[in-house]
Amino acid sequence: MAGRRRPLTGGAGKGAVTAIPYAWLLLFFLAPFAIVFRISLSEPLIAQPPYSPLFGADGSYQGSFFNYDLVLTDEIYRLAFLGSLEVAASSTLFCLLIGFPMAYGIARADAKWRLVLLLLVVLPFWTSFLLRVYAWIGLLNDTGLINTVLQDIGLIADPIRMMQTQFSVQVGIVYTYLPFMILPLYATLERLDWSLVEAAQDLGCSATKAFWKITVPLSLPGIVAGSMLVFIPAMGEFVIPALLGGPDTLMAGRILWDEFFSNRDWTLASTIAIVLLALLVVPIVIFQAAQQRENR
Amino acid sequence: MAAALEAGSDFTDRPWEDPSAKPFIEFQGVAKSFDDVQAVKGVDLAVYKGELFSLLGGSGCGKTTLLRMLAGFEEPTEGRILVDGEDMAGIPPYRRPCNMMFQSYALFPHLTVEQNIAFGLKQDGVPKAEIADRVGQVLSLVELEAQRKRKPHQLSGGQRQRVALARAIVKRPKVLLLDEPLGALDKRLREQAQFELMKLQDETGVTMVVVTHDQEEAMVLSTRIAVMHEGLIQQIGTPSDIYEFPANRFVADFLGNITLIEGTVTAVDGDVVTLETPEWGRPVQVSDNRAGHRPGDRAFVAVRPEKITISQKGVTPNSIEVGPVEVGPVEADASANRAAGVVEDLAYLGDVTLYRVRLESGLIVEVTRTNTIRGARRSVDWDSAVEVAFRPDNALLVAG
Repeated sequence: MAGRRRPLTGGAGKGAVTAIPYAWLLLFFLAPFAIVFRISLSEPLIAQPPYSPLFGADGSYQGSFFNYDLVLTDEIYRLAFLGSLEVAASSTLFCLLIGFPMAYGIARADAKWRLVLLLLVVLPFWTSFLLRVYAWIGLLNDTGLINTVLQDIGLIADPIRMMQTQFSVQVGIVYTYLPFMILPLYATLERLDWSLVEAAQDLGCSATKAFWKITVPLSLPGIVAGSMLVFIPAMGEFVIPALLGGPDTLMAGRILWDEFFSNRDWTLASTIAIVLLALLVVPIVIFQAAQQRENR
Repeated sequence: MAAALEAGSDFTDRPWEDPSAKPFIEFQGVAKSFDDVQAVKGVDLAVYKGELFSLLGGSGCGKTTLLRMLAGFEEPTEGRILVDGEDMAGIPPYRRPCNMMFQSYALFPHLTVEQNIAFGLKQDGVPKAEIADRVGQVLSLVELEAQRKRKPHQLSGGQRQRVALARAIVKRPKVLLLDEPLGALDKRLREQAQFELMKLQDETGVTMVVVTHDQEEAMVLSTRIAVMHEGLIQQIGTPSDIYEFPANRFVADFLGNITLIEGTVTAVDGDVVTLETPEWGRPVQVSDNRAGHRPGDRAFVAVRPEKITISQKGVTPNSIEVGPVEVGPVEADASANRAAGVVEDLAYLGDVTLYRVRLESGLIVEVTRTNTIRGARRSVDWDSAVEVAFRPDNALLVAG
């Protein structure tokens, strides 16, 4: 038994390996989260720091859920969350509708083309995200490329108002997050055993029916993963609505920014952040449950 | 192998020998190209009702393409495919009277065994009660009733193979297509599954077309075999036809072991052909002139290892010191082709012993000897000087 090698799993080595991500999460996620949560329980003060201490001079607890009350009851915050939810949900749907055929096409393309096509999908990342959003302004403006071309060929007389609308925000989000939908979808579709689709056809399914009965259910993990990757950041999106949206575009990310930087109300901003997080945890839990069901 | 040959020759119903019989599946001049690669180069083939027909060949020989064209996953570039008299051109897979068992089994991972089997029936709108009935029947046929609620990944390889088979037969297709049906099973399971397939064929009478690269599998299963190479059919025949009378050198070499002796025809006397061959050392006589060879032709004498005898040089088999040794008819036969050599290698396989004998010319002759007597001592061992011999009627001539 002396010469027997120790198994790789178990023991101190395994503990050390798993400790690294745990330490990372503790330090960079849980600790900041605790700070933000602690701020959300205070009241704003014009002071340094700009929020009330959690414990009074006599050591009594002074925190309250006052801010949560406000965020959950006040119309403006409710509308902002609903606005974010709507934009994020519809953007996710559009990304799925555009991304699925693209991912499907890449996965079924000739092997020598796949890498090129995938590269084209991620190519926009080589330019700054901000630059690309600014470029959309040039396209969507009243005097932008789309409107001037349409006017020049005489299709429209007056420019179509696209900038600073829900539409422009939607376009910006769908454009930005499309690769995040395509990549996980591609990963599942590429691994999909096409003989399953052939088997379905052999057993009496038309190509369309085989797609719905086999391809879609089996690419569900990719659909869920892609949707999460689009939905979650879109929920808290701030830059795109700020640049492409109008003053009436109510979204959680913008409200948060305004509370923090314009109102200097750290406590309310923190509260919005916590509520946003809670809203996002729900879909993640659904995702986890779906994955577990898949593995069972 | 012997058992396989009997299974082949015992087959009494031989529709392919009856000129009035109507083929059930017909390939007429079928060719298929992918881009610049010609996978199938003009195949004519007739399969009769109730046959278990094998397409045998190495990888890339076009056998799978042929099967996929029959299933409807590929359209031929040239030629026609008829099933039961109906031209299959342009008919999608889901409207063809064929069901296929895929090499990978292609079981739907998100469905249970039962749902997998019921899938095809559901597509056809078969009433629920009938679906349950028929699924139950095939489940009992493949003995998987206990696993009906399991998912494919919870099954063993043999069970998965049976689910795939059940799913293909539950729709009662006119033609059952099997792509390497037993390829993924280990040897013992494979043998069992072979006999299950044959039993299934007996019970249902369904016409089966099997694609395989395994010659033993093809021999055991098939009524007839088509040996394919480079997109062309090399020979069609019963297992024993193909084994005993290979049409060419490729078929001879592909099925089982064989020794090929190259030579030049010097004389033809009726059926008996005499060849001059430096490889064997002296003239060889073969009683096979189906190909009509003439003096001067180059040809190969092909002899199966079990049809060659081996004995210690200068010792008649009877006088070998220990234990009785079987005497073949060859020893006494004056017409037998004989040559001297040295045992370079031998392999004891239990039922037979395989000898590789090197002749003076360097030619390796493979010889097997059945170990009919328990514990008999080997009269021939490594480096023994031996004589190998075969009778003219046990060899055949194949073209180069």
